[in-house]
This record gives sequence, C-alpha cells and structure tokens, in this order.
Amino acid sequence: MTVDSDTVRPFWVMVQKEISDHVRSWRFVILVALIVLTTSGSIYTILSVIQDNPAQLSADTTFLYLKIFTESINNLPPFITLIGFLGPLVGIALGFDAVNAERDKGTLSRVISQPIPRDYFINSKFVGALIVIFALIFALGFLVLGLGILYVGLPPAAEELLRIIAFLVFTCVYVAFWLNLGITFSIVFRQSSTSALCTLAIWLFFSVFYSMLVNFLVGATTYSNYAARTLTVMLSRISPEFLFNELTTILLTPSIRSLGGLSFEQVSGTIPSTLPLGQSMLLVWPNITALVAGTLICFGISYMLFMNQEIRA
Amino acid sequence: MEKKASVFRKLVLSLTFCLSPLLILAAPPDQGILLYTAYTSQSVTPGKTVTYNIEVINQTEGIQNVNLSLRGVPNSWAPSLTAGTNSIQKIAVKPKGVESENAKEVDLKLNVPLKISKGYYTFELFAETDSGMEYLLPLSIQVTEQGVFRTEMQIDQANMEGYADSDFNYNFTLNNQTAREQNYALSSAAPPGWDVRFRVGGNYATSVSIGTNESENISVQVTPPEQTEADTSEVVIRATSGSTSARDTLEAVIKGKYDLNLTTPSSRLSTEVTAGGEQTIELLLENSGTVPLRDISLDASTPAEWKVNFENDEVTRLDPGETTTVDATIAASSKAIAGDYRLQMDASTPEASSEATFRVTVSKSIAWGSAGIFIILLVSGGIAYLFKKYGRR
Repeated sequence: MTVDSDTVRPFWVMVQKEISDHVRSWRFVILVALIVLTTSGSIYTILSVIQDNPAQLSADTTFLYLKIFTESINNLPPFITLIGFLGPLVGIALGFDAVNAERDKGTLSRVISQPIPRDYFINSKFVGALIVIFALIFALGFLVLGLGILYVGLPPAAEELLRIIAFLVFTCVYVAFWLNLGITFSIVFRQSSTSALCTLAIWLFFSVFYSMLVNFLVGATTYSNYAARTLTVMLSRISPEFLFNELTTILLTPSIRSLGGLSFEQVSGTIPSTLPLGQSMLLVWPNITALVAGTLICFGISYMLFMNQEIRA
Repeated sequence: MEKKASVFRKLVLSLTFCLSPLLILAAPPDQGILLYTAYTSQSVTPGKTVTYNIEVINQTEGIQNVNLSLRGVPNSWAPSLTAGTNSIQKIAVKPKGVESENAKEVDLKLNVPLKISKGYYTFELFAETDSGMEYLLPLSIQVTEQGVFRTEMQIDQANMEGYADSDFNYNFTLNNQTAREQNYALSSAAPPGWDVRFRVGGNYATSVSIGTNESENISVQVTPPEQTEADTSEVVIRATSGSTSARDTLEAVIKGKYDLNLTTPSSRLSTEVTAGGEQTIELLLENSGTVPLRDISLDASTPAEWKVNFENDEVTRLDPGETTTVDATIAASSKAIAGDYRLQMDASTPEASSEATFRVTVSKSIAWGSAGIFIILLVSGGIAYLFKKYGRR
C-alpha cells in the first residue's frame, strides 16, 4: 500500500471505533458469555477425565491436547462442535446491522461526508469485526490450551500447537464468512431486522435443515450404499457448516487419513498411522480454499454493493 | 607266541605233577627237611594277593638252618616271605624231640598283577640247609581271568550329522578297569575354530575321577565354526590319567545350509512415496547359508493397484557369505491415501526364502493444493480490481 500515514490514520480511528462499539455492546457480551459457559462445561469434563483416567478417552493417548478439543464425554458436545455452531452466530451478530443501522440512525451520511475515501467505511466495518473475532477465538483457544497445560502438566508438542493454531485461524476465517454474509445483507436490506432474519435463516438452514434435506434427496434418488454415501458427501459440501466441520475434524485428528468413503483398493495394505500436519492440510485443502474464497467473495460482493449504493437518500 | 608259551607251561606243569610224587619219594620221609603246605595250587583273579602257609619240617636229629628261596616267580609279583610281621630269608628249625616242635610256619605272599594272561603259573619254593640238604616244593597258581589294566571308552554314536550352526552332542562311557581310582584329564583335538566341551553330570568339566571298575557317562558338545563348509570333520577325544589313557574319534558331518536374507544396505525398511509417484529403493540380498544359492527370484506383494519393478528379478548365483544389491522401484497407486502402507518383498529360491516388510509413507501430491491457491489468488485479484475501481472516491 502506498498510502501516507496521514491518510491511514483516519481508517484506523474508524477501526478502533468499530472495535469499541462491538466490545461494549450487550449483544457481544451475551454471546461471549454463552460461548464461555457452553465450552467450559465440555472442557472441564475432558480435563478431569484426563487427570483421573486418561485411558478412558481412547486406547491411543497420543495428541492429548488435540483430544481436549475433539473428545466428547457424557454426551457433552466437544469444543469444535460448539465453536462450529456458535461461531457463525458471533459473525452474524457482529455483521447483520453493520450498514443499515448506521443508515437508520443517519450516521452513515455523516461519516461519508467526512473527507475520507468511501470504502474506508465498509473496510473499517470488516476489519474491526475481524479483529474482535480473532481476539475472541484465539483467547478462547489459548485459554483451553493453558488449562490443558495446567491439568496435564506437559507442554504440548510442536505438531499439536501448530494444529491448534491452524484450527483457530480457520475458525476465524469461518466466522469471518458469516460476518461478511451479515454485512452483505445489511447493505441489501434497509431494515436491520430483515437482514438479521435473513442471515439467521441461512445459518439455520445450513446447520439444521440442510442435512435433513440432503438425506431426503439421497434417499429418494439412489439405492446403492456407496453411491448414496458419495452423493451425500457431495451435496453436503455445498454447506459451509459441513466444510468447516470436516476441516476442523481433520486438522485436530491426525489419525484420519481420508475424507469421505474409501474404496477397498485404497484401504488394502494400510497401517494405522497419523499424518503430518502438511498432509492433513493437503487433505482439507479444498475445504480451506472454499472457505477462504467464500469469505473473500462475500466481502467482494458487499464491497461492490456498498460502493454502488446511493447513500444520501 | 604267548599261546605257545602257555601250552609249553602247561606241559611243564603236568610233567611236574607227574614227577612230584617221584621227587617226594626221592627224599626219604624220615630224614632231611620237608616243606609242607596244604593248598599247593590255588585259583585267583588278577590283582589279588595269594598267601601260602608253609610249614618247614625238620626230621633230622639236629637244628637245621634253612635257607628259603623262590624259583620261577617274576619280580612283578612281589613275593615275600614273612613269619609273624617280619620278613625273613632263613629259618632255623628245632630237631625232632620230646619237648620241641620240629616244624616252623612261614607265610609266602604273592601279589598277582592286574596285567596278566589267563592260565597256569608254576614256581618252586626251594629249601636248602647249611649242611646241604635240599627240598623243592612245587606250587602253582591258576589265573582264572584275563588280567586287565586299562581304561575303556565307549561312544554311543560316533558319527553325527548337522548344520554348521548347530551343536553336535555325543555321549560316551568311560570305564576304569584298573585296580585304582583314576583321575582322567579330558582333552580333544579338533580342527581350528571348533569348540569341544565335555560335560559330566550336567556340568562342564575338564577332568573326571572314576573309581575301580566304575564308569561315568560323559557327553561332548562339539560346536563347529559358523561358516563351516559342508564336509566330514574328525574330532579326537582323549581321557588321560597318569598310568592309563583312552582315545577315540568322533565324526561330525556338516550338512550344507541354505539361508537367504533380504534387507536393505542400511537395514532401514521404510520409505516415502507420493501417491501416483515412484520411489526406487536398493535391496540387499545376502546368502547367509553355507551353500551357493541359485536362481533367486524376487517378488513383491503390494497393496491393490501398486506395482514394484525389480531392476533384474532373478539373481542367477550367490555364493555363501556374498551379497548383492537389486534396485526395486515402487510405483504407488494414484488413488492411495496419505499415510502408511505395508509392502512386502520376497526373495526365494527352491531351497530358501526371505521376506522384508516395508512401511511406505504415502504423501499426496501438492498439485491440487496449488490449484486451491490459484483459486484464492483469483478471488483476491477480483477484490483488488474492485478496490481499484471503487476505492478513493
């Protein structure tokens, strides 16, 4: 960027304002409280099991730190599931009224009338929310890791640490996707309640109804077991929720060597082993690509819509 | 010769028997001196002591000083004349009278040696007075057994067959047939590199003590050197004491051994390969047997849709102890999933075979990864275009 510090400064002022607005809003505080409450239950159960009887987790106790994030005990959903479910909510909450609320309050035209480039507004909305999301996710992740060290008494291996960091980064990307979707709808719809409902509807559709729909479709069209599996996986991958779940599962479970079904030829001669991080990443590389690209595309759309919109209405 | 001698001796003996009444007759019964013993012929076994109780009778009117000597007794029999506890050479006998005995007793002791032939042995006890009177008492001993002084070694099975890496265990019985307890030193003479150990009663030993006419079971453990070629080898074992010894020869027939070993020069049995890619590994074939191996064929059992190509899948000849290398190219299936696969290589001849199991770590090619990066770059490019078009307004 070849922008002087004079012109950069107002942008960061706007970003800081965004962050302080988010952090002080009740909406954000409630969501954080919700996430902390649900995850702490799950984490606490796992940690006490690790401390008392690690053999209960599973026969193989390698990658203990990853188990803290993935293992489910007493029907409590594991950390990754909770984050996969509640993460989008955070994104939606931070993004659904980004533009239309300001428009309603009349602050949008006031900001735009300042001597700053117009895209500073939309960019600062995105960057501000993104920083909050990063801070939240990483704080949560490292808190869990720290608790783990406290309970286990061993430092995590480099491989485990890298996998956890990769998991946190992609969680942020996933939340950013929903944030951008929210921002897009907040530009499209003048009413913030409409945009909120719209994004929530999409989130609900993908996280609850889409899998039912896929099952119904597959059940109605195919008969062979293998074909049904393949079709289910194919259709499910349209859902960002499914992509994210696959990605986090692979990243935090090094012993999973493949996505979806395997043919007999592929399985013959295999020895149970764990994959290095690079190979796990390669396995979910399509998912990573789809999530990053989806996030960027959503941002691009919202950017284009905002820049083309008439503001002084 | 010995037989002839004994025949001759028998002849002499029978002659003596025939003549002895004449001899007795020759000396008048009531004058001179007489020698008397009750048992003139005794039967003994070798190694025993024979004692004759001999009475010297004086039939003259005066005291007779009698000189006793033995004729025809070998020195090895250790003859001795004793009266009471003393050894004597001469004996004086009182004359025939009212108050006195005209007879004196003398013991003649003879030790029959162990090493003696079976048969009759005759000798004479000769008495001569100072005055010149003589008397000859013929005596005989029948040795009823062939006398021995030796050690017997009896091997159960002197010839054994086995592989170069196996032990040969022989058993023999050592029998002490001497009159004394013997302390035998056990020794062996074997080709260089061979190890021979003796075992008595379960323990390794270098000497053994055996009493008279007793025997001991001794086992011999013979260990040939690892790389002994197929052949028959002889091991001489000896049991030696101060006075006697025994020896015998053991035979160990080494059978040729077929053994093949398949590994890699570094002994590392793992490798990496990209899915759909190829990887060449060097295999090491070793003939660890003692016989040359011919026509070693190489084969691999792979996961489905994998292939292994050997540079040359048959080795015509491999001498004992020699090694050779063969390049094997592993071609992984393009559908292989990331992680570890098991792959087995076999080398076999009709006589021996060996297998090596490899752990092949498959990694996926990053071709698709770069496609993903390209897509992200494309999207980023689109956004950069939007920035350029709409930014700075």
